Amino acid sequence: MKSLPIVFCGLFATLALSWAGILWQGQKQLGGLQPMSELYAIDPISNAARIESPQKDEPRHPEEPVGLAQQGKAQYISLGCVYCHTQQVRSQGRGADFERGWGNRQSVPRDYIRQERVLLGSSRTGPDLADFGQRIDSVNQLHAHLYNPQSEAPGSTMPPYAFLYQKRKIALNGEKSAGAIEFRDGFGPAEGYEIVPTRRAVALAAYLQSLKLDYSLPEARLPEKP
Amino acid sequence: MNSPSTEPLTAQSRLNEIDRSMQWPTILLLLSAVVWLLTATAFALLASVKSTQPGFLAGCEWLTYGRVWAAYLNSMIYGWGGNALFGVGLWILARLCRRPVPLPGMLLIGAMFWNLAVTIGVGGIIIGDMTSIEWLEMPAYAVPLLAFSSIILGVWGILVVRYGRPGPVYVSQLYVLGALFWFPWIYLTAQIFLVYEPARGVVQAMANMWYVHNLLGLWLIPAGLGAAYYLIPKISGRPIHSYYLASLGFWSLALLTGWGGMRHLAGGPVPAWFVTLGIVASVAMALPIAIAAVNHNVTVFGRWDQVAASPALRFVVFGTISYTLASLIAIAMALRSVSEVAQFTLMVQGQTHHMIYAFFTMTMFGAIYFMMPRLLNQPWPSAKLVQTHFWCSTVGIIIMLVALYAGGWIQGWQMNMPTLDNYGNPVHLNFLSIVQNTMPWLHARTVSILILGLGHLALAANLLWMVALAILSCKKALCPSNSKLVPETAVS
Amino acid sequence: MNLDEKSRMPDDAILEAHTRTFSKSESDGDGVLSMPILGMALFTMIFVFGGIYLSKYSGDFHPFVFDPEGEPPSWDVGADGGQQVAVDGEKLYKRNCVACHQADGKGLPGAFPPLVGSRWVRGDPDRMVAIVLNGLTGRIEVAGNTYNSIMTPFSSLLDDEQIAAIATFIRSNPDWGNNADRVSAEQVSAVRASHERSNAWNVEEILELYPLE
Repeated sequence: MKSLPIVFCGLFATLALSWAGILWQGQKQLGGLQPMSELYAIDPISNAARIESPQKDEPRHPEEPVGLAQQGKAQYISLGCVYCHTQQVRSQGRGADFERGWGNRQSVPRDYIRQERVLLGSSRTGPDLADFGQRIDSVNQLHAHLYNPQSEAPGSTMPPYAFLYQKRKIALNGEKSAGAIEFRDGFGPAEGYEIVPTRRAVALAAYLQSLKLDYSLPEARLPEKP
Repeated sequence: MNSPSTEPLTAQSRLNEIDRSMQWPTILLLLSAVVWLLTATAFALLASVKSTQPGFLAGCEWLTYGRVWAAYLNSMIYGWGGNALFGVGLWILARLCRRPVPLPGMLLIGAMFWNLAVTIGVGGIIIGDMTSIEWLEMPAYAVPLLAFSSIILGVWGILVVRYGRPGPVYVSQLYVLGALFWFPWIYLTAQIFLVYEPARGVVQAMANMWYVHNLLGLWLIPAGLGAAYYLIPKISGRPIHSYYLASLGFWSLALLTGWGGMRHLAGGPVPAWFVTLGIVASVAMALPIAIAAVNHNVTVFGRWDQVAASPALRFVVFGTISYTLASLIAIAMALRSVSEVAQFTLMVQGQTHHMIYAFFTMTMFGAIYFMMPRLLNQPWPSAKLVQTHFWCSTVGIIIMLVALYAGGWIQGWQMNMPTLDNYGNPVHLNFLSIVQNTMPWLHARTVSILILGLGHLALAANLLWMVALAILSCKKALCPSNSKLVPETAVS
Repeated sequence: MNLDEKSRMPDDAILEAHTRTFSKSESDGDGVLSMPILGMALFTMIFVFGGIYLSKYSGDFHPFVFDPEGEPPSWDVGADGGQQVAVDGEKLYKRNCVACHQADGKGLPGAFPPLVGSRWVRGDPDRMVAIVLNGLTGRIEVAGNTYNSIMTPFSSLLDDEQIAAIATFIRSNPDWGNNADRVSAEQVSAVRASHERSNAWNVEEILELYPLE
């Protein structure tokens, strides 16, 4: 083929265009975002974000995730939770993410900068989890849900993750272990047994609890509390 | 039955020479493709059953839904899709370059490495090492081998062209070359941005969508289109409608596809302009889509008897018609008002399967039905099995698409749009009720996978039978590959 | 179904038909001109749609516009999309000022005056900026105590933005009991431009230019 070099230039150029436009440009615009406190943005004099000096002890968001939650995220990744759960709250007026209580503000790029792996997800077979930590009433309930989703959400199609839990005989004196899960009637183990989360389940629960959009950023503020 | 071949005798013997040089690598690629297809079907069936009966085999961590689904995607895309693409693409490339392939042994090695890498990767997913990055789930230890083998196969594709007989370039060559050249690039870029040197924040999500969209649009789709552009004139005997448009279609597809992936992030945490650009590119895809529709479908229009009579052509034509439909649906789903509802629902899965199965896979089936008799020098043993395969695939995929599109649209509507309660206040349906409302559609999906699986078994049985017959006749004739036993006029 | 199907067109024919189309396109005006009218219409429609849609929903290609019809935020983070974090006044204070004025801002009794609750740093920001820029010598009374030492000039060490950040940090630090206005880089550069001098101020000169409120 005589025109082979020309064809290759064409093949190269067409893909290089979108490569540069999306990846390079995306990296340029979003690759250097820093954690920020909400107050950073408003400078009444110059109206500029950069000159603001932080108040002492003003936390900068998003904060560094803690180690246990990181281990839990490894479980989340390994079990493929992302195939049914997104982690993104769409802007108000697009769909019903706010109305469903999945978040009080939309998620923005800065929310993800501390994450080594970003799991936006593309399927909502289950509810969105970007702000899930704020919806958890108790860790016990969360564990009961993970152990057998039917107990907390009857009719759910979420698979049970019983393999993350250990079934143990209750000690002779009849006292349950500290971490044993309390179940609703009819969902617990057989008499004389208890269900205890393994380290993996504890980590996964810690990760799920850490998923919170409870802070304001200059580009995405939480609504004023009434 | 008795129509004489139109190939002149010298061309015919040259053709046999080319086919013989490609014989072993292509047979290996196509057979492993079918094995992966069966594996993928099994995973798909398991995942689909699990999505309606969450308790099914739930005690086994290796078979938890998330992993089975990822294993299905990867064995379907890289196992079936990759093997079929390399097998069909390289064979068409060699034929159109009209020279035997230099050192076909390297192709054999590349094919073996590819299959080894996919096996390691899918195994890694099942044992829990997956990355949870869509379509890149294979653990990092499978990646270098996969990339390496794709480069070997790609370089050989380029060598085929480089040492081919000088002459005009046909659009199939462009499509196949494009697929071979683009894959290593998008694959390695995505791996670097997502795994080896993870980009900061949502740049990862953008890189992932760029990859997912390009893997479909710049790898699988070009291979399918290239095969259709070759097989339709080849079997029907009519030149394609317009060669000029075909080139225009290729280059506009190459230019536009890369941008389209951003539309999947609509409403999400990325700047609006990326999404807007993705939507514009997706809508502009109307041009290459229209060109493909004209070129493929007008060429065979009104020749339905011919299409029905040819095992290969009926699959290919089903595929090309599906390409038009799937692309039009993709354009509609790109628009913000539609994607507000369709996003995150079964519709996305439906559209992907429309493209991967109803178009790509069906076209590859057609190519396999055309190629295998020429590679094994043995006609297909059973017309009934071909019929079974075609009708199972057709009916199965139609049931699946209807279920996913309709179920997904209802799911999205209930999830995003409020209804008015008795007092006129907008309310949203409880999430668990929405989950329950998708159940009938998911059951339909399970049924459709069963039907598809039946078709795949028919293909596998026919293929096994054919290989067995070929081995028998080979023994009888003391192996034809080193003699001149390939009948000069039988196949071409 | 015919399992023994034949090819009805040899590869050479496929390729040659292709060549013919292209060589013809030059002589007969086939090619671009042969593109059907409908195709041209489609092409134009796509082009027009793309242009309008992109200009309407591009959000100025701004990194912080998430709503396709939204405007860029009123606060400007600069062309780099807020990559440069705000210049950190506290850090700069620690690096440049604590040696004399101490980390708690109370200075050293008898040697260096305090900044906590000091009238010199509140009020007119230009006074403080002028002192930081050029330094200060002479007898000075702060919060009831008298000090007599030298403050070094920082005009060549720090840029306007950094001086503004330090001044803002000192003046608006609630722990120090200060809540005066913030200082902008523009103000600093205005003070810098307003007087040409290289030596340090006298206390009298400063009080004449910027009397204490």
